[in-house]
Amino acid sequence: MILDIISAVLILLGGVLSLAAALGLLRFGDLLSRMHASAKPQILGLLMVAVAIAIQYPAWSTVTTLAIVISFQLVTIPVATHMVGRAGYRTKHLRRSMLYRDELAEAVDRAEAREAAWERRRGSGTDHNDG
Amino acid sequence: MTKRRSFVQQLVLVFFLVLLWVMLWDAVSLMHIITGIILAFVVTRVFYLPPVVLSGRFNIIHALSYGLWFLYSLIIASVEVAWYAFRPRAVGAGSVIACDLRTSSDLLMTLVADTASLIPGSIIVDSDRALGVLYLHVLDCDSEEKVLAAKELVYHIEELLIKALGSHRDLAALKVNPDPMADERGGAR
Amino acid sequence: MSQIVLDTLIVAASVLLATSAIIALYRIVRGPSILDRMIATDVVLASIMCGLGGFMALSGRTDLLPVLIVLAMLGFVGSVSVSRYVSKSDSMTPGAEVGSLSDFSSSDWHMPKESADDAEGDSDTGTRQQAQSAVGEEWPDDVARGISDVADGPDAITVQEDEEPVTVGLDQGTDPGADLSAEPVADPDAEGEGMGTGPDSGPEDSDDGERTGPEPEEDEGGRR
Repeated sequence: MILDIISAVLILLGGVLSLAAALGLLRFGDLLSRMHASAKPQILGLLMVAVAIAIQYPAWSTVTTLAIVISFQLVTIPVATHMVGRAGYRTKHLRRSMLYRDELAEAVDRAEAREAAWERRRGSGTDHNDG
Repeated sequence: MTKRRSFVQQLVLVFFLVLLWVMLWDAVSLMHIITGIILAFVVTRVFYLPPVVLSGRFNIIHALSYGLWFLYSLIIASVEVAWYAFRPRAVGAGSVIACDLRTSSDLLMTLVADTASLIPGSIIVDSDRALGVLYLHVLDCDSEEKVLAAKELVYHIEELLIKALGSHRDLAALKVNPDPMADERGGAR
Repeated sequence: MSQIVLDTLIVAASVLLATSAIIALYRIVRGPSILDRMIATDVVLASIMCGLGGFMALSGRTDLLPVLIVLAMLGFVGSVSVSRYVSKSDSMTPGAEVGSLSDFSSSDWHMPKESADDAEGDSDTGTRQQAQSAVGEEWPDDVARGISDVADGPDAITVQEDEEPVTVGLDQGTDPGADLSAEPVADPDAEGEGMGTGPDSGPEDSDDGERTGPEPEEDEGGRR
């Protein structure tokens, strides 16, 4: 019984973290800030739920599958947030007013100027993208 | 010589894939292992990935300390982000900071970026692979001290990772430049 | 007694998870851009995963564990595909990493820092563009050959077989040139897309009226 209560407490904590993620999604005013809120508590919440399951069924089979789930999440969540962040930064989804200091803008401007020059030069020759 | 060594490395990759397959099936039996080997070879042939350059060095003590520090930071900072979401005061402005890493290896840059993304407070927005610069967005960072603290965190992550599995060149770079924040702080510390 | 405690905890956890899913649903509806909706979908998926995990822990069944794996994969693949769709850099410019900050091709993967010692790589773009063969028309030879045996020494600017680094993966068995050269045939839609002009390009100042930051004095969203 005590194990059940421990599991329930862990799941409750996972629920609290999920709620924190959702509230952050609601309250933060910027796409990048919302990404913080969505991705971070999710990891810890999942970890707690996985520990809760592992407590109840300490068999090797469940533990390995849970390890797989957690490590997949650990690996894929940063990649997904990075891609969303990069897309959001480069396109118009960014509120510059919310940034205190921005050290990336200059590098991105230069990269885009270079790509525009590339496109112009390539447009005079064979173009892969034309139908 | 190259063929032999890369064949061994290929075996390492296949071994890990077979391990993953066996773990998915939740049972270690001959059938699973054989099908795992076949599938691992098929997958590595069909989905060709550029090889990962390992440094050939793995310090278990530092790796363990990195793991423990990571777990500790994960818990502390998740609670912090949750607190930001719950408290009535609005969250402040963020900032995008640039961190010039001392390492030049692809794998280490990726690991630093992954860790910085998982530990709440910073997410990786972009990276400049040629120059070894990471750009991160930091939450609630609207004063100079917080910007410096965020940068120090990233450099600390990099230091832990280099000690755990950096190459010798990275270790040398670490020795040459143990405190990249010194000039930013103006030597005031 | 402990049964009551257990029941209360379970009910509380379920209420919290349901609330988080509903709040994320609000963001899906309201979110001013498609990326907001995508990360809100991620949060819904995470709540579902936590709920499923809780159900498994407390009702005595573990046959739903593969469902967790599938949900995790769905969340990841969905996020990545939507963000690739939104960002402009999906149109392939061969010879350079798409959307990269420096002119950096896939063949220069293990670029040592010593060779890039100027500030922010202005002269880097010059040298490396010269190093690219047949700029833009075809893949450089080293990329078409496959990426392997890249030296990790201080002299390596392009691919030079100085030493054999410790690599994990294949040597050039299959020819990745065949796969890679299929990619530059980008969808013609990408050509017409300017900066972030997907179907949901987002407002200039993507703001849903809830300002939780300092008041902006000058909106620079139109700068890009």
